Amino acid sequence: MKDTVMHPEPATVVDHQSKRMLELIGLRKSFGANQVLKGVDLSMNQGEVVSIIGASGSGKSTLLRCINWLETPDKGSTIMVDGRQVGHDDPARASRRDLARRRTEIGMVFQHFNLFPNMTAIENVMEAPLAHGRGTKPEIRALAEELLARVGLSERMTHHPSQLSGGQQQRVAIARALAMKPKLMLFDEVTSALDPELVDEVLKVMKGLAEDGMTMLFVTHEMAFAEDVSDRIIFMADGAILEEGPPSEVLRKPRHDRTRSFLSRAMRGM
Amino acid sequence: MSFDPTLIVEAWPQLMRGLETTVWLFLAVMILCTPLSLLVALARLSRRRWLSRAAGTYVNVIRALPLLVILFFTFYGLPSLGIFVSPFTAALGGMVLVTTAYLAEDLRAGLMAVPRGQFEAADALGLPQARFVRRVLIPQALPIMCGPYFTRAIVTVKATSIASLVAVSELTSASMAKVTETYRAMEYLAFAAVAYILLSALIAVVQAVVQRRVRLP
Repeated sequence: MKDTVMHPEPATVVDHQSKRMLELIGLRKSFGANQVLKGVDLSMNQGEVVSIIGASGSGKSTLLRCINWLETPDKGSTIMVDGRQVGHDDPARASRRDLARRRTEIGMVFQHFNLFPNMTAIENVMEAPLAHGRGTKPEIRALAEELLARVGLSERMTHHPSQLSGGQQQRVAIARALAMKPKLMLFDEVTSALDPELVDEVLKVMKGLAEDGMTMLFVTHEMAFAEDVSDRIIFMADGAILEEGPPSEVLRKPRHDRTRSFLSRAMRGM
Repeated sequence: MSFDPTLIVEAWPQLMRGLETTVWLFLAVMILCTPLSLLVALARLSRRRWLSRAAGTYVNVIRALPLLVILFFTFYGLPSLGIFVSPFTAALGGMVLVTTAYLAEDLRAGLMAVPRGQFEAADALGLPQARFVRRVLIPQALPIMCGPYFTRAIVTVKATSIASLVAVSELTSASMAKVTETYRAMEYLAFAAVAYILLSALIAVVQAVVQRRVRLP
């Protein structure tokens, strides 16, 4: 008995490290005749941090929004989170109830925060766990307090969103997404709507999450941040992945002309 | 011809009974229409095609008909189908039918004014639809709905006068009864006018109170 306790199986640790958390296979999305995603394949391991960059209209936000089905992917697209399919190959057969359940595994943070303005910060964080019966109210309150403390907002728990700065609102939104203990976090240009002096406080929170081992997928214009936290950078153009690799390669030694010209514009002043 | 206020004093009991009926008819209509119109508004916004179509058809047909025609239907039409109800009930039924259609559109506009991002945030959190409606959608739509809702209430309080044409002894009917009885119009009509103004003013006061309470922080 004692022996087993003393020697945790190394194999388990390795499995854990390389566990596939996200897999997109042939992801397509059209709005009418306009095909925005042209068959994207992408996979992420547990704990991996990936940033998607690219010009506006390249499909990066749509890609993110397809993962939790805020946009319904075209028929034949496959999205796997933690080894199980989200939705259905045939959108007509996806069940709303099943989607709602799977979405709790996928945290999402939006450009415009989208906090519920009629609730206080802590009520925003508590809402989803309460709705899904993730414990008693005191337990959920304790969890929400812990999460708000983690994003540095212990002093602002009973404030309404209108009483918070953009940076504070976005940190509440991150805490709200974390409250469901998601396996994967999606960040859709979360600092784009912020005043420049408020960007850092949000980036700091996200960096902390990355260091804690959260699997994170960013769509971002913050090149310095992407370089700093990402294990991998993906450059998208015209609804497809044009280039991907470690930040040191994609950002510093891009292979494609289009990546190069995008970066020369995006990294101006860096 | 002079204005003789003593006529109003003499007819006070009859006029007050008429006013009382107006108030009860109005309150009954609003109490029934408020939840019904919210359901119709939500149905019109539903993703279920058949449901939104059914609600849309109801609204479009009913609001195309004059209230008086509908009251004639419920007053003269129902008995010919073997359904006998009191004039008050017939008027109430007709007014609920009509007011629900109008009010549903007012409330739908309020629901639609809630930003799309709120729906997306709720979806992303996997909030069940009923909870989203109760906890997020309605609280945010209420401040927007307030103005149209109470305007509709004022329209409704005045529309109760049409019930006088289907034998309901409400305020207008009671006043007109005195007019035909005495051939004195100004006194009784003035009473009715002042009563309608006071009712509307009361509704405006309630609106101000409610508006303060549902305001978003």
